Amino acid sequence: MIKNLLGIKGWAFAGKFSLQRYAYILQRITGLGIILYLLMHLYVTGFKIKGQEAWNSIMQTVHHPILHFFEFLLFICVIYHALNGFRLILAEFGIGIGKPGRQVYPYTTSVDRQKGFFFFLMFLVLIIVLVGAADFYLLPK
Amino acid sequence: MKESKLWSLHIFSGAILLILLGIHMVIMHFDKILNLGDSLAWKSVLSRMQSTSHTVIYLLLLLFAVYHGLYGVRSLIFELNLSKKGRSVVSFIVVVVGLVALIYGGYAIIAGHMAKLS
Ligand code: HEM
Repeated sequence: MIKNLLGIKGWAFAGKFSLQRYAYILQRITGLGIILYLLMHLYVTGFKIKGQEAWNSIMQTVHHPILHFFEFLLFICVIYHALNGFRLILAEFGIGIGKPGRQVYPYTTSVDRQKGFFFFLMFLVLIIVLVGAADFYLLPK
Repeated sequence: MKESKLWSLHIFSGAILLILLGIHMVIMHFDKILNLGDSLAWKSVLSRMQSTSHTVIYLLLLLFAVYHGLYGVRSLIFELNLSKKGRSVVSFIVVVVGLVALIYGGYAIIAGHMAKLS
């Protein structure tokens, strides 16, 4: 295990490290948001087993513009986390980061080879989020 | 279990979630665009509850999301150079929260599927 000498600061401070590091910090923040949501989500949707009235009443309780906006933020978190996570999984299997080779100056890092792919995925995130925004806010029920 | 095994499961669950959570997001948040009808209306909730394929998807989604999410939280906390005892305490809490989420969530999914609601 690598020692994190920076403590709490080491969670958020990526210093001079690359884009990858910031993408990973976002991966963690979004992941934390999603797991916290999941626990509340289980509680709220659990009302369905009590029948239509209980369901409608809890839906009325959570039907609030601010909560709805948080839900939309969470949707963005999920899409980012899923697509960036997909890239991380590929990297874990060594896909798209090139073959290992002798290091010659100037040194390159293999993770930067995914930069183009990263921007492509972020473009996809944007598209999906825009479609989602239309569904969340523009289209009538 | 070995830490490397647990971590592999985290990655594996991420890959499964990509599919399951993808399905869940499309059904819940692209319902208007795809003209699936209001996904939160009781009628839709009931029909998903009664469908066996949805019940299976929800059970798998619950299992993999709880494992993946809580293992992730545990990894984050472990980065604070905890003592061995501190780690055991954190692992214990994570397992308890996970079990509660799985038992309650599993109960809601299965009871909902069995219930004779209309
Ligand atoms: C949509 C499909 C998902 C994919 C493809 C995915 C993938 C990943 C990947 C690859 C990582 C980094 C693991 C590492 O390199 O150590 C990660 C971290 C994390 N994920 Fe997910 N994930 C998904 C859904 C979720 C869900 C539903 C939750 C919450 C319930 C979640 C919570 C977390 C947390 C808290 C972390 C941080 C772990 C850390 O930084 O060590 N993820 N995810």
